Amino acid sequence: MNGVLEWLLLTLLLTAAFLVFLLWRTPYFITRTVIRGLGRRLGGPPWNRFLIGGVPTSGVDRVVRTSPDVIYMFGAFDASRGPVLVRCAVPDDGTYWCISAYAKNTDNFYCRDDRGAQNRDFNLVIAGPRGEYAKRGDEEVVRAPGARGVIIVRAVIKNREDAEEAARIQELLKRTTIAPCSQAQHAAPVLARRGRQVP
Amino acid sequence: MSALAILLSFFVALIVAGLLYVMFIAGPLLRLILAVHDFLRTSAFGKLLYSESSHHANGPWRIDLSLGTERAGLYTKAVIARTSLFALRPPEVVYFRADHDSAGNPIRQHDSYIIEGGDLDARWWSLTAYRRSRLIPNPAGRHSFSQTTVARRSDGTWRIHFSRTPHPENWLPAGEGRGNLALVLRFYGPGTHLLAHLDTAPLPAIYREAAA
Repeated sequence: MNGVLEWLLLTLLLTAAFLVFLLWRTPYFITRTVIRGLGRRLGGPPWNRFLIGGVPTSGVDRVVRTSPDVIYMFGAFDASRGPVLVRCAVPDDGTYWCISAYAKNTDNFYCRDDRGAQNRDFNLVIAGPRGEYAKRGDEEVVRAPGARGVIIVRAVIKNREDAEEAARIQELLKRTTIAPCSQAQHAAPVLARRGRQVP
Repeated sequence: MSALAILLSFFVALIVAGLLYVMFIAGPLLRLILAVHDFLRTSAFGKLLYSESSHHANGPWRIDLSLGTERAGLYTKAVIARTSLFALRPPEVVYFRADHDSAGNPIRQHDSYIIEGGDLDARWWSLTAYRRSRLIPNPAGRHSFSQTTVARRSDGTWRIHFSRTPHPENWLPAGEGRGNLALVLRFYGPGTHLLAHLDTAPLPAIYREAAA
């Protein structure tokens, strides 16, 4: 009898441990899947590059609960070899715009919108948890909880039926670039091939 | 205990944990275990899994303010990753979700609904329909209405017709099928009044019009 109880107790404890482990790892697993998908669409390593999406519509909404009224620019940062610099171009025409950064467990550890940005063009430095960075000017420095994560730039499209508006938003997003601080040249973001294309 | 018993225990635990995980995360069986949720929430184990008192209800709308924050528990984070990945944390954006109409019945694809509201307290807002957290395919290619696209009546209020069949006024297609749907109301730059009165601030009502 005691043996059976011991076995049940052990099984119960192991079940709880496995369940907690599965729940804990789910966000990491999904983030990793999204980053791998980003790499496939970029045609190479996903790190420190941006991909601009088209107007979200059914069938090409790669991320759950995508807003169909927002054009997204996805990127994955890698600050493991030093801080990463994001040169942000903020719209000044009242378009809702924001840049946000996520840890691999999906925690949103940084967000700045167009109204919160002090300048129309500002620099954001993302440093890893153990990375050193000496502040040089008025750049905003944020320390990420992990060396790698996701960056998303969002801009609201006030009328998704308006192709000219969508093209204008994409042009606006293109002006925000990302690269390691050690790298002087910032590569231009890549336009997604899928999604409702705009002229 | 023998090595065989321990090995058996390991595999049984793995299978049971897998089943529980599917029940927790995959959704369809979630309602079966809602009864034990309240108990879990108050236990030490529950506090590890769930967010701390961050849920609000306002009519048919539900909001979890722990979305995207470190305060979210393991279970909440896992569900967020499955259903609301990379959400913005409040107060940048707040997300209200409705799975039920104002009468408390599930929002079903084969029924027709009227969503009624007025100006909402935000810099910009949008109302989007989802099935299984994905945009609903429809020939019109319409998935949402927003502050800038909804047609208002003379008194400033608006009415959205959420149905399978077209309607001349603000038609939000529900697509084909018989599943349950969800509506998400996004507030970009929510107003201070809304943030202070999440439980009582005026939000759109959802009425079932007629069964198809």
